[in-house]
Amino acid sequence: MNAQTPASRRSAQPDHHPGEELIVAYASGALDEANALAIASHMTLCPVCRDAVALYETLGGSLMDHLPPAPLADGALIETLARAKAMPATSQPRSSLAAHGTAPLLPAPLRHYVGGDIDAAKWRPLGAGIHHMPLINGDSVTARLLRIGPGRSVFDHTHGGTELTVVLDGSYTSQGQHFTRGDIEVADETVHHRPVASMKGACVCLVVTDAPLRFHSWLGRLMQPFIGI
Amino acid sequence: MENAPAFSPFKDSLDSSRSYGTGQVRQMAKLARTAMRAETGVAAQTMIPSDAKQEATGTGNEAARMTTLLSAFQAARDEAIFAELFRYYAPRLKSYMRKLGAAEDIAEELAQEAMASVWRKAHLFDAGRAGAGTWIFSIARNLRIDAFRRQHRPEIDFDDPVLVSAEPATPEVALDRDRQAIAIRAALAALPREQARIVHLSFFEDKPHAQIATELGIPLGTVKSRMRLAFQRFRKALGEQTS
Repeated sequence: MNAQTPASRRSAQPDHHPGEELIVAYASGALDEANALAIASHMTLCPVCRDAVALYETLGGSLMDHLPPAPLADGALIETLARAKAMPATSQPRSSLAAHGTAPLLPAPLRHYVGGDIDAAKWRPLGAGIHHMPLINGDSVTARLLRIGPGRSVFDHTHGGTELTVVLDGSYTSQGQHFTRGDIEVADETVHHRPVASMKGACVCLVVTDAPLRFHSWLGRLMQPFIGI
Repeated sequence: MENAPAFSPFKDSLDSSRSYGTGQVRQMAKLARTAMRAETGVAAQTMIPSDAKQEATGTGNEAARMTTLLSAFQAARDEAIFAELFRYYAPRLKSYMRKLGAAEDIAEELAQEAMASVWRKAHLFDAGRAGAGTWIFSIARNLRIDAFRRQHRPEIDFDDPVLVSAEPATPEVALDRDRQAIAIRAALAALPREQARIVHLSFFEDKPHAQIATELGIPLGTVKSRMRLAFQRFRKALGEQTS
């Protein structure tokens, strides 16, 4: 390991994974955009889960193979050939990234939403040393980047639905467990969640929430209408 | 009856867990890798039940042939080769779209569009990473997400400099993708009916888990734990095929 690589950027494999049903839902296409973003980000940093998704994509291909073939309209092949040739072949090179001095911090699927690497993030203050950048505002599911200052914590909260947190930089502790770069935490309605960032530096995470959070402190409840979490 | 499968009740205790330990997931990945290497010899021949083996081997050969064809098309961009891929995949793609609820004309349209994408994106196909069936499935999946939900599909970039690789990359894994498909098919055939049904539903129902829960009149946590159980059984069956 290069001595100059900051601890948070080391390419160690994550210890915390999303669990089978989220991996399957990603592979099958059942996940909404925001949750899929969390899984794609984790996968970039986790070869074990990449293998798992590959396995289920192979399963998907195999299931499709065994569907009873549905007859196509007459001339479908000719139509398809015409359609294929009407558009230029997608010719972009496989690598979507121009030569970069240092490796970026954010996985490619996230850079797409941020509009660049972490230095392109447009942070908005939420108070108490916390900043965020909303990325996806779906009907019920939202994805945002969250930056928690060193030693700071997000207000104690539970979730109406499920919250996925992918650590991108720094680390935090929640419920006695430590989460570092690449780790994903899945918190459902049964979890009292109060992540505390490490004292060593700010913690940057992708947070995907599928129902409004429920804060337990009067300050959290008071803040909620204003910050729109 | 179709809508009210007779699930046996399972406790939701699994659901409060936050994440999976690496050991557990690593075990799953090991199974996946082993599956890819399987079928080379005696082990797979003797482990797979005969009817499943029959079916699996047949489609395995077909799948391998299609991968070879797609690689040939990638190199030569030959219309005759494409026509052969089309004859095999287009009717299955249409069937896939129909299963997911697309009307006849939309399914036809999406099947054609998927095959046109195969033509246009052939240079992106990497036989070392996936077989033809897997690659075409992922094209179809992304196409229907785009068409049904008008959503962007966040996808991993395998050339991302951020990508964290497995320490010892095993070159033989890539060679045996088609064999993995064979082991997967056999594992599926070995699943109890209810679990096989859940696996099918997971790929052919475009419904969030919450909606499935509402329709079945069971808690969301129960849907999730049943799915988890089904896929654990699948993994176990896969392990048995390849151990």
